[in-house]
Amino acid sequence: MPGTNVFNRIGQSIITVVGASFLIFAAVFVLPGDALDSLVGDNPVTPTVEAALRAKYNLDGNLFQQYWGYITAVANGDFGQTVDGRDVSQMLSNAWPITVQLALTAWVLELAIGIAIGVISAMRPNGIFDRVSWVFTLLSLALPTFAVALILQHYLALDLKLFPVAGTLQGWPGSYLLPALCLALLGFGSTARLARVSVANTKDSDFVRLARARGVSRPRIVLDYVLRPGLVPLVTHLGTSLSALLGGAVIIEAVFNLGGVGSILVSAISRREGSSVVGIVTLLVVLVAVVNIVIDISYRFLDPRMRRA
Amino acid sequence: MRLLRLTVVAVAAVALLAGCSAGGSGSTKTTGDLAAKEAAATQPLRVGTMIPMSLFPANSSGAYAFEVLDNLYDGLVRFSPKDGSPVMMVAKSIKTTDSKVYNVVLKDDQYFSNGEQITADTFMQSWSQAADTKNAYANSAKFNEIVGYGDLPNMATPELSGITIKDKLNFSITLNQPDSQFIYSLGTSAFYPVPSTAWADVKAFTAEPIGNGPYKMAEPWTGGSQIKLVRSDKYSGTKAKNPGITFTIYTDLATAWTDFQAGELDVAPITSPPDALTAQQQLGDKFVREPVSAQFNYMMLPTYLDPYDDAKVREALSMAIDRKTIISTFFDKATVGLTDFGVPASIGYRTTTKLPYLSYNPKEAKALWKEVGDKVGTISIGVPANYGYEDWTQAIMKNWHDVLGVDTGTIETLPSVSTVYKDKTYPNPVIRSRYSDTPSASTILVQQFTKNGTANWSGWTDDEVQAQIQKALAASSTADATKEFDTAKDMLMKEMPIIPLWSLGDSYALSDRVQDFPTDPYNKSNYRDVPVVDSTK
Repeated sequence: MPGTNVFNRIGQSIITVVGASFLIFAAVFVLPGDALDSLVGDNPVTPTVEAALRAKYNLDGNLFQQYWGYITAVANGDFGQTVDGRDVSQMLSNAWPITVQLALTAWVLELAIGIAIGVISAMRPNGIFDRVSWVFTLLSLALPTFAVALILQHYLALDLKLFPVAGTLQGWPGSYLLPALCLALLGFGSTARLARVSVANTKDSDFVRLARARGVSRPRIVLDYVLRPGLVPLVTHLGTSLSALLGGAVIIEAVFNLGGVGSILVSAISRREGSSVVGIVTLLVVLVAVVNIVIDISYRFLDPRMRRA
Repeated sequence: MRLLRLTVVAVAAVALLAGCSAGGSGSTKTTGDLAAKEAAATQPLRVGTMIPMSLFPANSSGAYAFEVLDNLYDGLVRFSPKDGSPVMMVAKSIKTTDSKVYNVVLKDDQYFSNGEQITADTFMQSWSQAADTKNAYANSAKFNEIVGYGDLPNMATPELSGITIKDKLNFSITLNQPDSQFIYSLGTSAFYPVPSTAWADVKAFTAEPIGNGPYKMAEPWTGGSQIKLVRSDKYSGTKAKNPGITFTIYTDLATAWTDFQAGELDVAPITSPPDALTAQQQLGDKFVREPVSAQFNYMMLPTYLDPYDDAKVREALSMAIDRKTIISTFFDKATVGLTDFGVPASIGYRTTTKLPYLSYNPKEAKALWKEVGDKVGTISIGVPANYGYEDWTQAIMKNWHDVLGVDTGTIETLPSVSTVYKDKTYPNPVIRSRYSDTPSASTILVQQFTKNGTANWSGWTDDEVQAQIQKALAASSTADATKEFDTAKDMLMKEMPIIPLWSLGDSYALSDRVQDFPTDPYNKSNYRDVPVVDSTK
C-alpha cells in the first residue's frame, strides 16, 4: 500500500505539472501585447514581416494552438527560442545552476541557523536565549526580503567588503553566501519557531521520559529521542520553505544580479516570452513536486511510529 | 549551546573566507607617462549595461543591443560625434543626385575579423537575407524602401533588385521613391555588413557575431552575465583606445552603481537622481552628464476620440505642464525639456521655437481651456508598467488640476503601451518613451506622424503634414531637408498630435582607470574612444 501511495503522489504531480504549465502559458497569453512588441519596438514592421515573425515564434494561433505547438516541441526536447534568438534550453542550463546553488545554500543556512536556534530555545524555554531569539525570529518574519538584502549588501559587501556586491564571478561560495543569507532570513524565523515548538513537545513525551529513566545519556536523548521525531513537522515545513526560497530567489537574484532563473523569469515576463516563462515555471513546479514526494517518503525514516502506521 | 557556537563560528568563518577573496579595486593619482600606460593597458573597459535584444544585426533592437553592436561593426557610415553628419566608414563615398539612386564606392581595405573581405556582394547578401520576409527578421521592413523588397520571398536566392553591383567595390542602391535621409539609415545596425558564413548557422552567429568593427567577441555569449569584446587586429580604421570591453549585464542599473562603488566597473550608467547626486559628490569630474540625447519622452493622446480630436484641447494640456519644475523635482540634471518635435541629438533640433505650446504658460492654457474645457471630463493617464513613471505623471495631473481645473482620475498601469491604442477605444493619454535610431529628424517625424508610421499608435494623420514630410524627404540637400522638416515641425506644433515632454540625457560614473570620455550623442556608443590604464597607482 505504501508503494501505491507513492505512485499516486507521482501521478498527481504529473497532472499538477501539466496543468500548471497550461495555466502559466494562458496567463502570459492573456497579457496585453506579446513578444513581438519587445522585439520590434518602434521599428517599422510590415504586415508580411509581422506574419512571418508570428509564425517563426509560434505566436500566430489561438491559445490552445500555441500551447499545443509549445508542448509538442518540448516533448521533442525543443524548448524553443527567445525572440532575440537565444535557445531557451541553453539559457536555462546557464541559469538553473545559479538558482539551485543559491536556493540550496539558503536552505542549508536556514536549516542550520533555524534548527539550532529552535532546539536551544526549546531546551531552555523562557531563558534569555529563548527571549532574544524570539525577537530575532519576529524580525525575520516582519522585514521585507529586498530591504534586508539592500541593507546587508550595502554594509557587508560595499562597506566592509566581506562579500562581492553582485554577480557570480567568484563562484560558490563567495558569490552566493550573502544572497543566500538574505534569502535564508526569509524562512529562518518560521523554521526556528517550528523547531522550538516541535522539540518542546517531543522532549516531554513518555518515550523521552522513559529514556531518561533508563539512564540514556543527555546528548543521545536530544539527538535520537527528541530531535529526530521532533523534526517530522519541520520536514513538511521545509518543503513549503523551498517553494518560498525559489520565489524569494527572484527578488534576491535581482538585487545581487545573479542571472539565475529568477532574473530570466522577470525579463521573460516583461518581454511576454511565453515559452521561456512556461519553461522556467514548469521546472520550478517539477522541482517543488519532487521535493514534496521526497518529503513524504522521508517521514517514514524519521519517525518509526509512522512506519508502523 | 555548543551547537549554536559551532553554527555561528562556521558561518563567520565562511563569511571571512569569502570576504578575503572579494577585493575591491582602489584608485590613486596617476603617475608616470600616461600615454605609455594607456598603450600598455591589458585590462578591458568594464561597462555596466542591461540585457541586449539580439546581437544579430538583422534582428537586434534597443539601446543595449546597439551599444554592443556599435563596437563590433562599422556600417557604410557612422555619425560625426560633433553634429551627427554622416562620416564614411566602410564606404569611400556615397553619392546621389536625386535622393533616389545612391552610388556607393567601398574602401578596398575593409575586412571582417575572420579575414573575409567586405565587397559589394557582402552588402547584397547581408541586406537581401535580412530583408527577405521568409527569414522573419525583426529589421526586415527597414529595407522596404529599396526596390525589389517585395519580390524577395519569391526568389530561391534572395537578391534585392534595387541593388546593382558594378564591380567588386562599387554598387548602387535604388529606392522606390526619393529619400534624402536614406544615408542616415545606412549607419544603423540593420544595415551593417555580415560575413557570408553568418547565414549558414544564424543561431551560432548570434551567440558569437563576427563583425568588421574595432572589436571582436572574446567568447560566445549565450545569455550569461558578461559580454566580452577584445580589440580586433584586422580593423583598418582608427584602433580602439582600450584593449577590450567587458559588458556586465544587470537586471537593474541601480545595482551597477553599487557594483561600481565596489570597484567592479569603469563605466556605470546612472539613472536615478539620488544616485546621480551621490555620484557627483563622490566622483567630481569623473561623473559626466550628456544632456544631448536621442531619448524622447512624450504623451500619446487618443486623438481618435472626443475631446482629444480637438487641437485646442491638446495645446492647452501641453501648456499646462510645468516641465521645468517636474524635471528639477524628479530627474537628474541631464534631463532637458523638449522644445521641438524631435530629439536633442537630431540634426536641426531647435532649442527655441516661435510657437508657445511646449512652454509652461498657465495663463494661455487657462484662456484656451475656457473655450474647450466644458467637453473634457475626468482625465486618467496610462503609464507603462515597471518604468517608475508614476510619480512625475502624478505631477502632470496636479498641473492640469491646478491650472485647468481638470478632474483628474487615476494613473493606470499598462502592461503594453504599444498596443493600447490598437482598437481605438482606450480613452486616456498614455506616457511613452523611445529613442531615435538616427540623427535625422525624419526618424521621429516619419514614424510618429505619417499615415503608416510605425510609431503612430493613435493613427493621427494630416494630409498637409504628410505632404510636407514627403517634401523634406525629396529634398536634394541636407540643408533643404532640414528647412522642410522645420516647416513640418511647425505644423505639428500647431496640431500637437502628441505632447512632447522631455529628453533623458545620459549620466555616467567613471572610474579612475578611465582617462577620457568624449561625448558622442549621435552614435550608440563612444567606448572605442575611451582610453584606460590598468592601474592608477
